[in-house]
Amino acid sequence: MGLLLVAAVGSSKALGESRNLGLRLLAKTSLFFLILGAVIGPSGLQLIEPYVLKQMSPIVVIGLGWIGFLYGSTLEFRALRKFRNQMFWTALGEALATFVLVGGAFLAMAKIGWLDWDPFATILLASTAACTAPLQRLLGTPEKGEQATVELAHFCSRLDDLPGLLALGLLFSVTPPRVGGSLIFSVFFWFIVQLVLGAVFGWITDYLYHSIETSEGKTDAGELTLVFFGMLCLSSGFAAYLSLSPLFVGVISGLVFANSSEHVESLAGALAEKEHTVFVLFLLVSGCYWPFRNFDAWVPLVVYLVVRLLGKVVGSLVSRRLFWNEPKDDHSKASETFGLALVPQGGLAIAMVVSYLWSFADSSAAWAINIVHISVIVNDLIAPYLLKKAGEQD
Amino acid sequence: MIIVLATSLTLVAHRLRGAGANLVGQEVAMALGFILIVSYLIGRVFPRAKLPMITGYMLTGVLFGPSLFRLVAPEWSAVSREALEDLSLLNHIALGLIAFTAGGELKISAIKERWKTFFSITLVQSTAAFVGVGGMLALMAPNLPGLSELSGPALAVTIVLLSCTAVAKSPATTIAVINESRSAGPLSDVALGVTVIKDMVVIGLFAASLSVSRALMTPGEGPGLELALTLAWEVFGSILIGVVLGKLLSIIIEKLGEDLPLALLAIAFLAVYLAEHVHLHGLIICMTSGFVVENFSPHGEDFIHAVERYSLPVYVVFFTLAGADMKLQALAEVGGVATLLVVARAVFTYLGTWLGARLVNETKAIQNYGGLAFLGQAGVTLGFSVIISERFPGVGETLSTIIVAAVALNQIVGPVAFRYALGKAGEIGMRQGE
Repeated sequence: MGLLLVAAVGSSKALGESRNLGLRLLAKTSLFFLILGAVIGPSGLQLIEPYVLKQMSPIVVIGLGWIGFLYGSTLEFRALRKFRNQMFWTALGEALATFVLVGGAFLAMAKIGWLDWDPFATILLASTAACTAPLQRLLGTPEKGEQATVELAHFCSRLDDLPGLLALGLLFSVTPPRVGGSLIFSVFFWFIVQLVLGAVFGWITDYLYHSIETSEGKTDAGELTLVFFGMLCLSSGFAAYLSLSPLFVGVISGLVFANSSEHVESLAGALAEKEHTVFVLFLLVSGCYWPFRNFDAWVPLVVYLVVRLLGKVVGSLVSRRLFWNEPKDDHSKASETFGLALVPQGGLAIAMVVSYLWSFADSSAAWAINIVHISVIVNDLIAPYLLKKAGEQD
Repeated sequence: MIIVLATSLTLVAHRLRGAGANLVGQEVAMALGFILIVSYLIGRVFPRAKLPMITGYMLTGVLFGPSLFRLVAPEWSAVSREALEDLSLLNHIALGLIAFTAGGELKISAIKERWKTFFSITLVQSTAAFVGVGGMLALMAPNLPGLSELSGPALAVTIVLLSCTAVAKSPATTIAVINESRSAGPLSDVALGVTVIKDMVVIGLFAASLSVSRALMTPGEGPGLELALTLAWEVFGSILIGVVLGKLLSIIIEKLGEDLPLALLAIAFLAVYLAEHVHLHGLIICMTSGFVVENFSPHGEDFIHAVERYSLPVYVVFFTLAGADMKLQALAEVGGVATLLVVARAVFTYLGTWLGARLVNETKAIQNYGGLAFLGQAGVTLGFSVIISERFPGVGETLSTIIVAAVALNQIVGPVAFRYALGKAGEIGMRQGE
């Protein structure tokens, strides 16, 4: 594992200097480590011993909480309030359109007998389809594209993961032990439990930061990291132990923290250099669990890719026309194909499927997990060309 | 309040999930979170009583680990035996990172300045501890439970091996106390230098003791060339690999920059693997690597800063797990003998250090307080106990229990004594540029 890590980091650096923009993006977004994990894991060359993989499994749980927390911490209401309502409607519209189209496509395939009907897998696929990779990592400076297009695409990429995350939270509310008489009540109960857990952990994290502040109001970066990491492990482990979603609980924790704490910037500073390390390890270990052997769901994969692309493009086009129809609106100048910039899927989609795989570990859903993994990689590879098209004006 | 909340949450989680549920990653993540938060909060209180934080971490491990808690709540402990086993890889990685720091803090300039002190104290202290403890045990054996029923070769073996373990100490404790107290000065340099060198001496001494013991127990078998070669491989092979990995790390620091934490983890993984599969010594490998990077590469400062950024969580995890793994039952069984061993070791270590420092005209601070820097014991000695119990069925188990109990006591006493010594020497908080 040690030698492989060193070689992986070196290879990633080399890839990052490749002439091929798609390969450069794979390195930049660290998805290279996901592929490497799959190659060296039990489904691939089996270079990782089972006991090592078992002992590294907490990294997956912790990584899920980390990704969730980081995403939630970007949802600071004070900052979001500065945006106009149409921006929110556009993001929501595009995300819901994609969610419904992909979900509908898989429901249709089940009805006509191409697939066995699996509601959980369908919701998972629809949720991940709505996700978009954080665009600030892909697009260059605003001068490289039209300002309006870039801003709209940035905003949508920031928020369109939310419907999928909510759906995931509901999905994870179904599986814990039934509470009360009815399924609906039980789902509602466990959903609220996740919200409360996330809120409590977010609040405790802030409280701990206050307690380690010096009298001058300063905090030590090492202590900040320890407190954050400790709370992350505790909350993620606790959620996963109860078959709830560490990812969803992490999002709520981050959201509560971002909106109640004065230490958001200190934390961001303390975590900045560690984020890459944690993310790489998470992808590497998650890749080891990728069950790609005997994958044969090629038709559903193509359907997923195509319908998702359609959902992004059509959904964003319809939203743009619906909500930005006044010439005086700044974003009415946004390109009608800005939805192409929302095709790259990003780490949150991977986190969702890993979260599902970890908690349900049901081989019947392996095909869905494979679809999302492959889709994320394919979309990353074609992203540069789509981004270029997205910026082209009518 | 947070401690109560964390404890309650863990208890609730165990109750809701039920015993026997196979949830490896989840339970380990939760245990890790519990360790980090609760240990850290408890450890923070200890400096107010002029005690090292790592003592607080160990106490947390003892309180919430499987040994003590099962007396109170048999079906629950925040850090269960299974979680401890699953955290063993993390524990080894943590030890590797601590060893990196230990090697990285040892500078050639300090060695050049004090090589006579290092040599003198190592030699005299080791001899004093070995001979002194051995002599004391030989004199008192007929009156000691666990030893009184032994005679002849078995008793001789027991005395030789226990004396040998009295020489070993804990590099992790040394570096942790120095770092957490931000100490710098002659005593810190001497403590670190002697500890690093002594680690290699102890391995050699232990191998020689094993050889003599085997010859005593099975008279037909001599020490053999095989043992000498094994010994040489373990020490010199580890140093060689450590040099290679140190060079590799230097190149990585230069080329990969922001991925240095990953590279450090990778090297630590490699060291653990080599230690387990090729019979090398992970601690020596990592200490050597750290030493090479610090002293033979332009990136020594970057390296030290990268490692120290993770030092707090590493210490919390490592020492809490050490506490959780403490075999309190052993203390109850052979507490008397173990206490005697600890006291004898402390006395002869102190005297040996005093004499060794005096012979080279070291400072009064080192003469008077240096001996207190070498009382801690941990993983190396516990490793010896495992080997002993495997190689000498029957008497080996008694020995192993005594050693484990003595280590438990030394783990508690050692950091406290060292911190006291650093305080008396005026070195606490003297580190520049923090």
